[in-house]
Amino acid sequence: MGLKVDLSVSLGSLKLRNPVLAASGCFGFGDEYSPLVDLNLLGGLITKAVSLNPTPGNPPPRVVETPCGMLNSIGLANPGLKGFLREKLPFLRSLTVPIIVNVAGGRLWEYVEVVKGLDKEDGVDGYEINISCPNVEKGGMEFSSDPKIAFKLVSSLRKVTSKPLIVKLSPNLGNIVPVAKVVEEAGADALSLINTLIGMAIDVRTKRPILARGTGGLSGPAIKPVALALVWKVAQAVEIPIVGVGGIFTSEDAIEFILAGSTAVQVGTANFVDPQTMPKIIEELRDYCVQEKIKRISDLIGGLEYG
Amino acid sequence: MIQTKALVLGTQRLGPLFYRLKLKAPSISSLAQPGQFVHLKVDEGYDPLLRRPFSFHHTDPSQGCFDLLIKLRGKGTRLLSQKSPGEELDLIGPLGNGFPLPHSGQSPVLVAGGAGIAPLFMLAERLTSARGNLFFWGAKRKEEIFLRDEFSSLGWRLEISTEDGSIGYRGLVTDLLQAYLSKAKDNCLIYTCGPWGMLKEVARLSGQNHLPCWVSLEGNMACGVGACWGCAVRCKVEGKLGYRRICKDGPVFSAEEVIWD
Repeated sequence: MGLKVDLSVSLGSLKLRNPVLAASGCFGFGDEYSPLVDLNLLGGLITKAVSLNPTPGNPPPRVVETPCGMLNSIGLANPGLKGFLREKLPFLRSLTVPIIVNVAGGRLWEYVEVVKGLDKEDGVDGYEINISCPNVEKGGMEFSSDPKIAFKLVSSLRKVTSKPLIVKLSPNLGNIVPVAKVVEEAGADALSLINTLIGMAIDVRTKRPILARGTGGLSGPAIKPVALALVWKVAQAVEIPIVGVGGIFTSEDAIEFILAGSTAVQVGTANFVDPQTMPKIIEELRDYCVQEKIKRISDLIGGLEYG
Repeated sequence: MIQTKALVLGTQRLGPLFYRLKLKAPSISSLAQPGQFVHLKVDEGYDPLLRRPFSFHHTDPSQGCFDLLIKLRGKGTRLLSQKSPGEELDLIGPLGNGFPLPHSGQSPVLVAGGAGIAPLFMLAERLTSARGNLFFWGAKRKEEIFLRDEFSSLGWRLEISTEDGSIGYRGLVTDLLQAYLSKAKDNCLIYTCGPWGMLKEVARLSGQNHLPCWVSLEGNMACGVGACWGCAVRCKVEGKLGYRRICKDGPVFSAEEVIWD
């Protein structure tokens, strides 16, 4: 019989049965996709961003397709902390997979309030702190672009929770390493790399940007090489686990990220294209391990033969 | 909501810009309601990347089939127009809410602009008791008007307008509607689909005449299932300004609910 493969990985104290997570914003709060996908097959689910107050989001058009990718400018539309607890958490709680709540805010205290408001809730297994959204005026990016502010935010959150804190960083910086290092020093359990790249598309007839807000965040296969290079770079600079994200569509993509130093991976835009992407990747990761005679997928992490 | 493979039965050119794509997917065909849509993957590979939404245009549940109306717009629609019988397409559907059907005593009037004919034709097929009612259809020119035989066999009275006057009334379809509503409007229930500017005018005329009006909207869409909020449209939500999702809360909205400006 075939080799028994262990696909489980750990992000700090958070154990995942396999390394494939649904990326924030690309899988809603799970319920939207439940008619199409067996959510309990996933390694975990990262929710759409939750902010303290309900957020209506940006004016439309909010999305546009670009070659091998898409731009979005959703603007963190979400029902707010109370709405999440009332309307979304009961369903998520019914799942057997770890639920990581993506937390966004305009100010430091808003992040703190959201985490405090979620921390005692059953069914919230960890947080992904979004300090890298390119589509909002306040917050988001500014926490990512200044290491001092990033340190203050993460250490404040560390004081209010002992659950795993994963910090999602922006690629829209000159050098991502200093922020990655201070976030680790402030007590983060893991890093998510990368959020979307700032991009633009223009309608040549109207001579206006296609997105109402002018620019948006680029995702999809177009950004995979950028994400991979940043994961590889940061993996050499920090000790905490990295969750790779950016254009992962296939099991090969996922393995590339693991070899570059990711402990787990997130699937985002690919869910829109094919909701079966995550179950397929998980199945194929198992096949790959069998073929390559790898007993534990965690043995592959950072296994790049280079440098 | 199902994700399945549909078999391409064939394509038929309906004019320089339009194709009919005939598909077979019994599980979807049997569930489809007028105004709902499918989200389909045009091709393998990463460009085009996202699925494309198309309203049901006609269904034949007894044969497990349905038609989509494809208007050539870019790479995705061109690829769809070139599909051959026997090919398969991955699709998700039926999606969205569909048109609420008229109450007894209400007299439906349908108003289509251009490719907005797609869902309204299927609605006309289903509203058999409204035969003899008016179906207004506006287009830019004669070459964008087709299906006339199908309309006569359905029994609806088709009134056509073209912007260049090459067939039917010369002008906008909303001119025809306005003239009609100025005479007979009792118990009218308006259904409309088409470009934003036209829908806005139909909504205005309906409001002015105190008539209920259902509009079917389109917009750039990513997930199609309500998860991403990419297809948001500005609406009155519980009395306040907010957003609704075309894919999940729509694509059919009450004209009064939509913020048109």
